[in-house]
Amino acid sequence: MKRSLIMACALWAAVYAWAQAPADAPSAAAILARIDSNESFKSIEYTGRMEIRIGEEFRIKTMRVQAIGADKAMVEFTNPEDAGTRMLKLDKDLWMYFPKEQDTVRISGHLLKEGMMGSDVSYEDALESDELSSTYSATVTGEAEIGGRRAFVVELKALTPKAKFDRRVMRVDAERFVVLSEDMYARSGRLLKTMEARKVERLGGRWYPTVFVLEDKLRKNTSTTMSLGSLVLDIDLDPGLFTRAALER
Amino acid sequence: MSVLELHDLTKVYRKGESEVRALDGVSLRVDAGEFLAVVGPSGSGKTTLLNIIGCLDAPSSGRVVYGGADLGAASQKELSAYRKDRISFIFQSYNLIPVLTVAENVELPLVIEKRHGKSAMRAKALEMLAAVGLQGMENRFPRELSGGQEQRVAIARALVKEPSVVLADEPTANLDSHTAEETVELMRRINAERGTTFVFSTHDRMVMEKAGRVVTVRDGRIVSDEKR
Amino acid sequence: MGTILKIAWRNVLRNKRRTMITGVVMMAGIGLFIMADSMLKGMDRLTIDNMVAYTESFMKIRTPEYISNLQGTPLEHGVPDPEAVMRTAMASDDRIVATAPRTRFVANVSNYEDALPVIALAIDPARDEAVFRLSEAVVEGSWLDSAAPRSIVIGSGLAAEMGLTAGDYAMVSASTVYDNVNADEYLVAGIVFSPMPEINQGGLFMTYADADALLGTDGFVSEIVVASERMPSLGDLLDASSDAAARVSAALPGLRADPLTELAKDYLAMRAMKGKASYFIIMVVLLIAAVGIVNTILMSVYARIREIGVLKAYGMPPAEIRRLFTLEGVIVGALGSAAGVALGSFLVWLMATRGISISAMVGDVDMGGLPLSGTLYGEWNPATMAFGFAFGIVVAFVSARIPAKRAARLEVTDALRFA
Repeated sequence: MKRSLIMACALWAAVYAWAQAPADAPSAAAILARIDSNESFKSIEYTGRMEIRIGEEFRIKTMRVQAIGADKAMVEFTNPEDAGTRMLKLDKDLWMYFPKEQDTVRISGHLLKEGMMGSDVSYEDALESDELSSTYSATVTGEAEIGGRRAFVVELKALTPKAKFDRRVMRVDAERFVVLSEDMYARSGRLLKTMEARKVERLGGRWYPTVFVLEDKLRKNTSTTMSLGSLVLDIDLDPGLFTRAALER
Repeated sequence: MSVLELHDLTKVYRKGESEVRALDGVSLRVDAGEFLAVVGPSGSGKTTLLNIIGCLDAPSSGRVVYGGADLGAASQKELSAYRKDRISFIFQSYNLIPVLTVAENVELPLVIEKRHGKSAMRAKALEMLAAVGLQGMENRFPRELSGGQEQRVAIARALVKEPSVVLADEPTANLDSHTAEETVELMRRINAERGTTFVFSTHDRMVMEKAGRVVTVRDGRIVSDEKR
Repeated sequence: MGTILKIAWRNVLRNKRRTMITGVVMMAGIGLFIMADSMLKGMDRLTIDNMVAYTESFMKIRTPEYISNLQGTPLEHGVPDPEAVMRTAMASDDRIVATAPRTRFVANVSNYEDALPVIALAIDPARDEAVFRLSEAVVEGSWLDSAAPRSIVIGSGLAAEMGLTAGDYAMVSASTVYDNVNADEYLVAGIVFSPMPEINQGGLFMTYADADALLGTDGFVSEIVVASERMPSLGDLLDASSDAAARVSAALPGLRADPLTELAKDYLAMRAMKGKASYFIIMVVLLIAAVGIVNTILMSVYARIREIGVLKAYGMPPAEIRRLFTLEGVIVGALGSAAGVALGSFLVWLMATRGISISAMVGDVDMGGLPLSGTLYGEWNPATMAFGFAFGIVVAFVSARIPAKRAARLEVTDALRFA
C-alpha cells in the first residue's frame, strides 16, 4: 500500500515536470552534452585581453595563454607593465617568473582560485575547461531571452562535492548551445560569481564565447571583461612548453 | 784581601758614527773594609766606572774579579744575580719606594733575595734602623721624613743584607752640609764597626777628606790614587 | 709576592685619579653590557612568552607530512584521532597542563569592497582558552562561543583595515577540502588586539562547527597545541619544551611534537645575532678601557723609572718587575670590573623589579613584526655577570702586560742615571 502510493507520487511528479517543460526542449542532459561539445577542450591557445574594472578604475592586462587539459598551462603577460612575466601551472603547482628580477617564485596553490592579476577571472577560469555532463545533474527550469536570443534556463546541481561549484544556473542559447550567462553558487548557497557572454563566435564546427564578463560576487563594484583572440582549440601543443626551463627561458 | 779587582778595563760607547771611549785601560784593586772615594769631573768616566764596580754594566774588555770570580764577560742576568747577593746601593736622591713604609723599604733587598722568613726580615730591618738611629720610625712613609732621615733609611736598606760592597752615588749631594757630615760619619762608623766596604763618588771636599782612599778619574783613566 | 702586591695595591690607591678614570670606563662598559644582556634576555623571555601565549603554545603536535607541507596549509595530513592524541600527550609529561585542537587554513575576508587573505584558525573555544590567552586579548565584542554559530573573531589591524567592528558581518571564503571555493557570511563577534602582529594583522578565528561547514571537513585537526605550567626562566622553558616534546613524540608514533626551539627558531636565530651585537658593544667599550689601562700603567712606569732602577739594582729579576706592573693593571681592572658588576646588578634589579613598558618606550612603532609589547622585565643572568667580570680582568691583564714588559726591559743604568 505504502509502496504504491510512493510510485503514484513519483509518476505524478514526472508527468508534471514534463508538462511544465517547453514543448520543443531537448532534455537537460542533452543540453549539457551539447554545451560540452562546444565549450570543453583538450587544449587551448589564445591571446587574451582582460579589462579589469574596480569601481571607477580600469586596468588592461594582455596575455598569451597555452594550456593542455587541467594540469598544464603557460601564461605570458604582454601588457607593458607586466611584459615578460610568465606563469607556469603544473597540476596544482604554480610558478611565476619575473623578468626584471630574473627570479622564479613558487606560489601557493590557494592562488589558483583567486583572481588572476587582480581581476575577477581566476586561474581556473582562464586555463581550464569544464566538463559539465559528468559533474552535474541538470534540470531545465524555463526559458529566457538573452540579447535577443532564445535561451533555456538550466539549473545544475553538483553530483560530487569536488565540483567547482555546488549549484549553477545557466541561460543556454537554444540554437547554438553556448552558455550566454551563468550564476555560480557555493555550497553555502552564496552566489560566488556571474558570467555573461558578450560575443559568441563560430570556430570550425563549434560555437564558443570569445568575449565574456565575469564578476566576483564576494567583492562589490568589480568586473572583468575577457576577450579571446586568435583562439585555437584542441591543437597539439608541445609538452616541452610546460617546463621550468621554458618558464625561465 | 781584595774584594774587587779591575784589570785593564775599557768601555766603548757607540754614538752614531763615532765611538766614545769612556774607560781606557783602568786597573784598580779594592780591599775589604776600604772607604774609597772616586772623584772626577762629569764626563771623566767616573759614572761608567761606578756602574761596572756596581755590576750594573759590563766592560767592553778587561777583567772584573769579585771575590775571586771573573765577571768581565758576565751577562746581565748573571750580573743581576751577583748584585742581589753582594752589592748594595745608596743614591743621591735616596730613591726610597714612596708607597712602602720605612721598615718595608729596608726589608726590600731581603724580599728580593728571598732568603729569610717574614719575621726574620722584620727583625733585621729594625736592627738596621736602630743602627742608623731611626728606631721608632719604622711605620712612617718616606714623605714624612727629612732628607737626612731618608738617606739614613737608604743606608739601612743598603746594609740590611750584609753586602760585600756598598756603592754610593753622590750620597750627600742633596743634603745640607751639617746633615751631609752626619751621614758620612754614619757611613764611616758602619765601615769601621762592620768592616763593610764602601765605594762612593763625590764632589764634596769634606766627604773626600773623610775617605781612606781617593781615586781620581779623568778622560777614562785613573790619574791619581791616594791613600790617607 | 706579598711586597709586590703591596706595592701594586698602594700605587693603585695612590694614583686615585688615574685609577678612577680607567675604573669608571670599565664600570660603565661592563655595567651596560650586563644591563643590555639582561634586557635582551628579558626581550627574549617576553617574546617567547608571547609566542607561547598567543600562537605557538608549549609545543605543537602534527604529522610529519603536514609539517613538510606547512607552507601550503593543506587540509590533509591532519592529526588522526585527535582526542586520543590529546589524552596521550597529557599523560606523557607532568608539565603538560592542557591541550587543544587547531586547524589552520587560508581564507579571504571580505567586507564586500576589499578582500584580504588571512591565516584562519578553527578552534574549540573552551579548550583553546586553556592553552592560549587570546580570550583576554578581546578588545571589542566577545570571544568565540560554541553556542553562537556563524561568528568569527578577527585581529584588530585586520578589522581596522576592513572597517569592521564587532557586530558587523563579513564574508569569508576559503578553499574547501574538495578543492573548490566556499564562502559564507559571519558575524564579527569579537576583535582581538594581541602582542602578536600576525594575529592583529591577519588573524581569524572560528569554531570547528563553522569551519567544518565552510571547508567541507569533518573534524579535521591540523595541529594539537599544548600548554605547560609556568617556567621560572627562558632557559627552563626551552629545555622543558624540548624534553617534553621528545617524550610526547616517543609516546605518539607517526606524529611529531615540535618544541619551542623549533617553533621559534627564526626568532631564536635572530636573537643569536642580537647577542653578537651586544658582545660587539662590550668589545668596543673594553677596547677603550684597555687603552685606558695601557695608558695608566705606562704613566705609572714612566713616573717610577727610578724606582724600577732601584729594584733592578737590588737584583729583582725582570719577570718580577713585569709582574709588579701587570698586577697593578689587574687590580685596576678588577676594581673596575667589580664596580661594573655592581652597577650592572643595580640596573638589572631596577629592570627586573619595575619593568619597562615597551609601548611607552617605542610607542606604536612596528617592531619589524616582532611580537614585542607589554612590559619588559630584565632577566638575571649570573653567567653574563661572571663573564663581564672575568673579561674585564682579562682585558686589564693583557693590556697591562704591554707597558709592564717595557718596564721589565728597561736597562738598569738608564733607569738609575748615576750623576
